[in-house]
Amino acid sequence: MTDAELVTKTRNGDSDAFGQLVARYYDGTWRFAYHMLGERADAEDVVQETFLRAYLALGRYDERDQFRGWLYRILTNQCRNALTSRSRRGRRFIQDEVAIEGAPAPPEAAPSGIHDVVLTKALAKLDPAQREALLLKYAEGLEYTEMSAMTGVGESALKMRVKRGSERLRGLLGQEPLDD
Amino acid sequence: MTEDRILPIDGGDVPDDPQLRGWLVASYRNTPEPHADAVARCTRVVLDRAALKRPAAPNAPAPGFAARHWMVAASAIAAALIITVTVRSRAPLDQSGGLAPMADGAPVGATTAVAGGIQFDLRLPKNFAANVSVVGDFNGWDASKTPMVKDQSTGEWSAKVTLLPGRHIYAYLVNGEQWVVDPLAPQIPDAGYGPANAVVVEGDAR
Repeated sequence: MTDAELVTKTRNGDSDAFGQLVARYYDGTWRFAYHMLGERADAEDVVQETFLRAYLALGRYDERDQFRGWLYRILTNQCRNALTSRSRRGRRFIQDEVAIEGAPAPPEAAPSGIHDVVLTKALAKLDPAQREALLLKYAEGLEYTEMSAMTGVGESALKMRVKRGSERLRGLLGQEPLDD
Repeated sequence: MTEDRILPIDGGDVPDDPQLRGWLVASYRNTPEPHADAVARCTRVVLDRAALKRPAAPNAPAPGFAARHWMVAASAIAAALIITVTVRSRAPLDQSGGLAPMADGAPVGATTAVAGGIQFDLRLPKNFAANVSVVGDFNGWDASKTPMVKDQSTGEWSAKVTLLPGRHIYAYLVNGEQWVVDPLAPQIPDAGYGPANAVVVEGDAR
């Protein structure tokens, strides 16, 4: 069943259809929120708020939009709100190191040589706007036009955030770009 | 932002970085899985909270949508032993502000940040509770630590707790045996001890 069909069913009061939408997108939204916020509990709160706001706003959802993009627009806003709130109360970005280190080892074929813990710690040191742009571009695999529609930020600004975020991240990792 | 203002008009070409992409994709893949019951819990909590918010929602979808979830709201309230929670502000993660009125006009919400702490308020049916406590990670879940005081004129139970900035988990304990959560406040994953709410205390962490 397509997302649009599930949205229609949800609008008609089918809570099971909404449950299917949550099941379809929970994992992806959670991974994004986790990488943005660095704490498991905060990520879960943000994802819950995201689905709540999406549910309440389904009446305004334009079916010509991709549901995933619409959902991630809410998600990125919620992550920003959470980071702003965290900043106001003086908390620092703290990685959930226990959870990260308890994760299974990367597969042998992982094209890295960079341990995930090191990467996530470096990611946490980026400006949140750069972190958001890098995750949307590389981890989510979005085009700049999609990122712009999702975040409300111009494409040129997003390109610069990706560029500077990449340079900063590589600097933090002590890694030079590969030669072509 | 400064970085946005100094860009060339079209932002220039930004070459893809496949190595960085590989690292981030691998990091995503290796991220610890969410809790096993996360999807079901998220769905349930969202439907319950949405049902209680629905009357205040400015963009309610089709009528059947709202009607269906008023029934869910009624179930949620009944499940809470017909207890309504009266609070003066929402938890900070909710940026919408304001309280959604319940069908009988009584407000529902979470907790209030007040000078020197957090105010917890709870309204119960008349003669329903002999005693009520706030229990949470801040008092070791000890019912004797934070008893709530009843205002005889309003019937509301209240307690003020001094909490350090950060995220705290709490619930209400009625008559020493009935655990009650606020259906509108953020709820944490059930780790086997029953549902509980979360509240974030803002302020300087130092």
